[in-house]
Amino acid sequence: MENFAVLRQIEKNINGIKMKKMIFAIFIVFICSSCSASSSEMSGTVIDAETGKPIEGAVVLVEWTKTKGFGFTRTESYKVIEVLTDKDGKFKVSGVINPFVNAPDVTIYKKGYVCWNSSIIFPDYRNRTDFKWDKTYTFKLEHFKPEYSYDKHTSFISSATRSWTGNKQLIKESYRWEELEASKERNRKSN
Amino acid sequence: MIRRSIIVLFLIVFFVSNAVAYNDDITHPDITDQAIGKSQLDKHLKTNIGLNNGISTRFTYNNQQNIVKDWLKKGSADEDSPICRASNHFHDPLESWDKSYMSDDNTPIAIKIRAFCTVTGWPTFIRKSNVTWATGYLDPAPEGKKASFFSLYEVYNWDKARDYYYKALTSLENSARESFFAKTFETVGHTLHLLQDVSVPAHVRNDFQSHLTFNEAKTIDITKWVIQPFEHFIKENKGIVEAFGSDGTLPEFPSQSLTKFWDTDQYTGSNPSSSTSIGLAEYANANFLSDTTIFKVEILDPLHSYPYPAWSSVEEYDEIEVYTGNSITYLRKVSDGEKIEHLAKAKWYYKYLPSFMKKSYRFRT
Repeated sequence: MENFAVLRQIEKNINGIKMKKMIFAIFIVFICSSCSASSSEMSGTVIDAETGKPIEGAVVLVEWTKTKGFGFTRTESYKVIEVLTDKDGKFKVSGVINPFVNAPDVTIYKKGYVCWNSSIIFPDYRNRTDFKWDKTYTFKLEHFKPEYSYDKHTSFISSATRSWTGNKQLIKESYRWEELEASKERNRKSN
Repeated sequence: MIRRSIIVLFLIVFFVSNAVAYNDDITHPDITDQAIGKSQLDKHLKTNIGLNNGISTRFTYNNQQNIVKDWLKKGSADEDSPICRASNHFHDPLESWDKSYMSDDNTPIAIKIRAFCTVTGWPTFIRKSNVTWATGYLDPAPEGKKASFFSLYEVYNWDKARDYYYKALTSLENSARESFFAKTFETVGHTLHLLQDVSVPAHVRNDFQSHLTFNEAKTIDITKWVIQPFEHFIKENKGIVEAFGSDGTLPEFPSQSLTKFWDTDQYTGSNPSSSTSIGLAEYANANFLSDTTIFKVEILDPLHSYPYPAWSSVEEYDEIEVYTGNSITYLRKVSDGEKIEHLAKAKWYYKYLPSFMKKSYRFRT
């Protein structure tokens, strides 16, 4: 009888250890799946979609966000990096390894081109589904066509970058000229 | 039980305790952007105020320089900060305005969220309805009674916007004028957020519960496990807001008094309508469903039962789903106001249920 009780105790302990191991394994799987979008360093090359030539001096904005709350939620900026591409169209940014941080949102702007964003596509705000940034990626910028509206384009850049949050001076300064063009465009429309 | 409660409370506090002023809310700024584009604001600023660049004019406040459009978008994003501010974002048009605020936070998890809100400065007894929080009115403007506001946090409502606007026009110092203009537009942005919220059925059908709908448990971040299905869908499909803005037909509101945008007190629960002359809250309440308020019987769930859309307003139909090829049963609204396809969706086994069980089946929006 005593032996039976000892065996039961041993079985309980084994089950306890198994349960702890299982919870730990689930925890690790969650962390790994969350980290998949982030790595320590990420790089990219920005090229002209038509010619394939590298674009120098394009502003690259990378922003990581965090979702806070439960039931009532909001997303907040976690880290913002702004860099310019070099003469070969290349850039590098240091990543974020944190399972609670959302995958980075990338926006690239160069005068004369359509703003590129990792979530949405100008002009109809279609969801972008072809982007996955593991370590490196080639970003193809389309030329800004004469039929496009500056008013719509500045709205797109503002929404894509959430330009009203945080310190995003480099990208804001780079498209300031388009805001003035947008104002003139609205004048023409209302006259 | 106590231990479990402590863990849940800990999790909530852990995930929400660092709330600061930055925000990204995607949908609200996009709707605000569309509204600005369709409005006369640019022309008004250029011709009446003398701001030559209209909505592209820059104003600096708090070391931040934004154009008018971005101050408005910033305000419409920041109205959700701190997160418990959103407990003032509900308005049931069938209730009097002093009782039309959110009141269905009575499940175990919702009570813990309420407890968190109480300790962080948002107790239930100071809760306001959306229309009162936005406009200050407890009854229709302009004759209506005004509410008193007690909050640890800054109140951004229509009266505040008017106050800042007056100061922007009359301040002697250029920097003060700049700051007050920025604050004016930021505060109007907050008010726009509130008006936008009453287009969400859950916000006008006293349905906080649907904000806790389980979505998926793919990541360690528990905040992403639950969503409000309608808000989540719009957020994930940003093109919908853009497409809506390109539609040329817009209602006009000549001499509209402020609160009528929210609620005109015309919809009584017996006269559903598709007219745009009723308030947005009335229109959304009468014509749409939210996940916890689908054909609920009053005696069983009084907080979530609404007269319309009624079971008699809808009909079933089957449609092949593009991605899966499966036949799905939907409900379409065919009478009692607006006619709407895909009003609600059933699971595959719905069509095999006996007819007496169909009415009590739990549809999804």
